[in-house]
Amino acid sequence: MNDDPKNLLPDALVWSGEHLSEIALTALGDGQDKIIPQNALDHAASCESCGAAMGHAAIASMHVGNALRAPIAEVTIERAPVPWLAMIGALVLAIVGSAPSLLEAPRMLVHQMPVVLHGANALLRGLAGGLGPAVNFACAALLILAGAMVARAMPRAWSANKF
Amino acid sequence: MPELPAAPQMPFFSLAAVREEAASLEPVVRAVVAAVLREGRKHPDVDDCTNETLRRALEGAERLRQGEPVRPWLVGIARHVALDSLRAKKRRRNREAEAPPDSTGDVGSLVDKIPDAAPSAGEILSGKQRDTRVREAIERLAPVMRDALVKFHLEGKSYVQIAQEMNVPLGSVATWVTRGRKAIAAEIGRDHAQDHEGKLQ
Repeated sequence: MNDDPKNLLPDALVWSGEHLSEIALTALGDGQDKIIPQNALDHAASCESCGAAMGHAAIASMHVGNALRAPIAEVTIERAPVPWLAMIGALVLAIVGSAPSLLEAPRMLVHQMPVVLHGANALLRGLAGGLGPAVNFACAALLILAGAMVARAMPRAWSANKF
Repeated sequence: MPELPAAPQMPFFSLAAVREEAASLEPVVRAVVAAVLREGRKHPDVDDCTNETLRRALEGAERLRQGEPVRPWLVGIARHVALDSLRAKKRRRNREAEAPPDSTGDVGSLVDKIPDAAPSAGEILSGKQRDTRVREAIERLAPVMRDALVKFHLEGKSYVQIAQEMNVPLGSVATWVTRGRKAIAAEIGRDHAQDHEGKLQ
């Protein structure tokens, strides 16, 4: 115990009626027994109510101290880089793979012309009959576009590097 | 908003000193356990939990990180031991209330009943969230309160040293620490309600 009155809390701050004040209980919870007068320490040791309050004060002190000492959580979102190399490689592979078909293209075009014309005719008739089919096509295209955008925006990794 | 300083690195500590300090903190451990269990400090359950806390602290002193103060570490163990005791009591009550086990030999359901002492993912996340909220609350405090709390918790200074450093009466430091912590408690009161530990002082 510290006998220097300068280093003791004044009675007005130590007592709250018959029990210890919140300030004294906080100081005890912080382990600052040296600044508490001896009669107050004796009271804390014998009074169940003040003992429980001191226990809560110690827990509060622990929580605040732990929070202050805890490293700050830094959450960073890393955007995946666009895989240009893989995309170009895939494109080249696709072109090489489709080269034989391209050579056959003129003949196939002539052969498939009736189907293409029939499709175009159906589309024109649909447009003339109203915007319904066009809206369907537009919605499908938008959905595909939205899917691509979501895939692009998705984070590759969440790194909570200081947790 | 001012940034809180980082925790300073402490010099090397000896295990013997840690164990000695832990043993000297028995009254605090008892008060914490009694507060969590809501029992008197002489209650047998409080005795058991206090002894268990000190046993864990003495055996696990090696796990205390260098520079980590002993007191809050021990208070944390005491709180966990007391909460575990409360949970075990609740489980016992539930078992007694349940019908006797069937004879189907269902291993899965038996395994489910084995208590897991490790903190759940939810508990860990809740702890991290509380730390973040406490830090935010500290940053919003009046500068003198924040300084007093930072000097006490991060720099490991006593109230007397803080008063001398800030050139203010000792009572002012004690008042700032108390008020600062009350303001923080008001912000994280919900967490404590969830812990069933009553309000922060």
